[in-house]
Amino acid sequence: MLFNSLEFAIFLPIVFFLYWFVGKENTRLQNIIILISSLFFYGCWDYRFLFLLSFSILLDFYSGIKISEAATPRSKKLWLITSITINLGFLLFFKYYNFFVQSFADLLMNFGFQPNIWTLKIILPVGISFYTFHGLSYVIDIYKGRSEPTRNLIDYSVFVSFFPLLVAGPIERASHLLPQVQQARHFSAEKASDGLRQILWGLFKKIVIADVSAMYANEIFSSSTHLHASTLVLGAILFTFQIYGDFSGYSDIALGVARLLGFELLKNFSYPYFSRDIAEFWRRWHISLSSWFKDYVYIPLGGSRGGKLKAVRNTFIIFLLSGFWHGANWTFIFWGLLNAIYFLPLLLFDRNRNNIEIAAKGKTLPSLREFFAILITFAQVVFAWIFFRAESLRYAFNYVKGIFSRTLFSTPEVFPKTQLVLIAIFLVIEWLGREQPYAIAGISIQWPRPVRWSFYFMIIFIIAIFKGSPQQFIYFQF
Amino acid sequence: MKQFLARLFIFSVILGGLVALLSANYAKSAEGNFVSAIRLKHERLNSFKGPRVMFAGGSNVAYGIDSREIEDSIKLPVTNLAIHAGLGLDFMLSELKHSARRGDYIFLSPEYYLDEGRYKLDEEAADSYPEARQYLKHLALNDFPILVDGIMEQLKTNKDVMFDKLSKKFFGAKKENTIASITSFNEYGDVVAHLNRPAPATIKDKKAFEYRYWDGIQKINALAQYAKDNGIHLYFVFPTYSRNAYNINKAVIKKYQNDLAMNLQIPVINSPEDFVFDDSEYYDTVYHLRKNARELRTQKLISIIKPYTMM
Repeated sequence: MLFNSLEFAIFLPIVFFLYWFVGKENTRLQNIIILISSLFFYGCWDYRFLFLLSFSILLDFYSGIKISEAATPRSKKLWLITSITINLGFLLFFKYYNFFVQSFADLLMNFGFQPNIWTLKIILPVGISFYTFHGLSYVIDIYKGRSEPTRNLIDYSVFVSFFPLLVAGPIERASHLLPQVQQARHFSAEKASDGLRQILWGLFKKIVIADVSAMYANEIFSSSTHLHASTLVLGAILFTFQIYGDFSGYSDIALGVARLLGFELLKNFSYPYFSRDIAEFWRRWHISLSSWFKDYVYIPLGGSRGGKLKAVRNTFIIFLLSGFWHGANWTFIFWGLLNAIYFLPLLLFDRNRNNIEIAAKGKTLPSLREFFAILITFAQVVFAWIFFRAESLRYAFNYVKGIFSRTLFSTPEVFPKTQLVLIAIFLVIEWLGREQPYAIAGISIQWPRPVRWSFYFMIIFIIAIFKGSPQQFIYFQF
Repeated sequence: MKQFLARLFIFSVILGGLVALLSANYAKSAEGNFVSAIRLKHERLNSFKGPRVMFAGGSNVAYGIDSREIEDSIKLPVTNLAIHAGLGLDFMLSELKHSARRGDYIFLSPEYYLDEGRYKLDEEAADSYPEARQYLKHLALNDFPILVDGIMEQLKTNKDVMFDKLSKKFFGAKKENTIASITSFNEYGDVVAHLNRPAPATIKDKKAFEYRYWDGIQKINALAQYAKDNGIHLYFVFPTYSRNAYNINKAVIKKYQNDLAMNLQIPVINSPEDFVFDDSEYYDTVYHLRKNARELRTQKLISIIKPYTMM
């Protein structure tokens, strides 16, 4: 059930009415309604994996209790290791088994062996990377004493399986979401309206920006061998907007849906394409994953303490892990590596925390220096996305080779004028709203109702008129 | 809560009104558009008295065969009924059922995993050729998504018409250059407008299929039974497909072929590889052949179907 599908448009109002009218002020009943809805939502993808999800929930729930009750540090650790091993074991098996087997076979073949490889036809359970990370953060936080375990299985199940974030995040923390699950929630018309507004903006990003850009990007990437360099550049730029519209659009819808039900989820995107260096980009792109790796990998490894060399090592580790998290392909690992290389000079010269605030804060336009910094960072990001999008490293390198040819300044063979105009309008709106939680949060709420509603109607009609053919959310495969 | 719901209700009512206003079919554009070729095709088909040969399918057939050459070779009147895959398999099969008569030969060549298509396109065809109303699916409650799609498509059409009018008003009339027109067909029903045009730089619809059992098999079998009962010769022919797209989908197409061989109750008279050509031989999509390969396909098609039309 996609967020932009008719099924979801029917599902959500039903959940909303059951939740606020049947559940009323009864938190326990509301949580049961959310849990049943979430399991139904997940079961619509593939009901067989409900078992896996349930197992993961039970494992982490009981591990959390056992860690907190353990009498000795040794048994605490034992429970933690058990939980981490099983969680990661499932993730490795479903997501990476074939990759490891195939890579090992390729290695043997390089040495002249002809291995008889044994791969499995494994279906990747939707959202496994996300709910596994939810569970891991929960047990690690309890082990570290940062949070207390819940003894209410329903509350914990809602924390892990809450349908807006179940299949593609944001990756929540128990310390942030679990208290909201446990507390009474009261309906707020203001919050609900805000949620609907964010859903609308998310749908625009997904259906108009991502799906239409995807049509052209797919066309260019699939015929790249005989296209002009300028077309290849355009293809990479279109993919850049596709992945942003797709994932941040999904996150906006998730946040909006959660707000309709009285929850506040972690922000996942904060205008990453207006970043002035790659460090800022990573503070603004898929924030919940970056902060997860920072808190659970980078800092435990020593972070930036212990000298530059250690900081460089740790930075490379988290970027490579982040790449690998996205999928079992060398392209993702290379994408991570490339970002680590971009990051390196900033780290070495202590410039990685130069740009904390949003660009041109409080001003309408950026300075020339900021503008060029944004442009250069954007170019770096676009270049890295080529590796992310490509089916193989060989393909990506050929694509890059194609870009650096004499046809770079020729007219692109594919030139989607309307889509480029829509992207330009989208960028202007994002720029104007960049100090808000999401772009249209501020610019519409200050307007009188007739103007504001006209603006919403306009967005709805733009979605209906310019929509592309529906594409799967990219991050569902992760 | 009450206030929120009241506002939401008012918002929805205004939105509904606007949608109704903007998605009304102001310009019945059936005359002259691509699917309106259905009328010409049926006029031709109905003009023959004895056994006839019909080619059916989506645009892979419309763009990719030379019916005149086939007619000259097999000495039977040929009509290319194919227009657009968007009309959907149900519409095509219903069209064949209502049009064929005893002794006719039908060569059905649907695109891979051809689905229900776009209902709005079916309606447009019916606007142009009233007989086609009987080919339309009767919509039930669970076909609600079809209605939503139809509204969306009409909104898009109205936007195009409006932009076109504005562009004509401000920039003057442009020379008609589209292939999506009734004038793109010859008298046999073949699309010929693309033959002497330069091809776009990229070809569309290159996608990876996910294997599933195609529900079209059951639908074709229903027509097969009707054909058998009424003395109509019905055959299945694999479509043309670009080499690159074919290579991407080779494994899935193999399974698709196996399913057809095992379950289809009509003869499958060729293999998928027969009409696979290099990508450079395609016009704008992985199904639309250019001049050279169209000729090659026609020759090969004649050799494949000839034995069946001499029975």
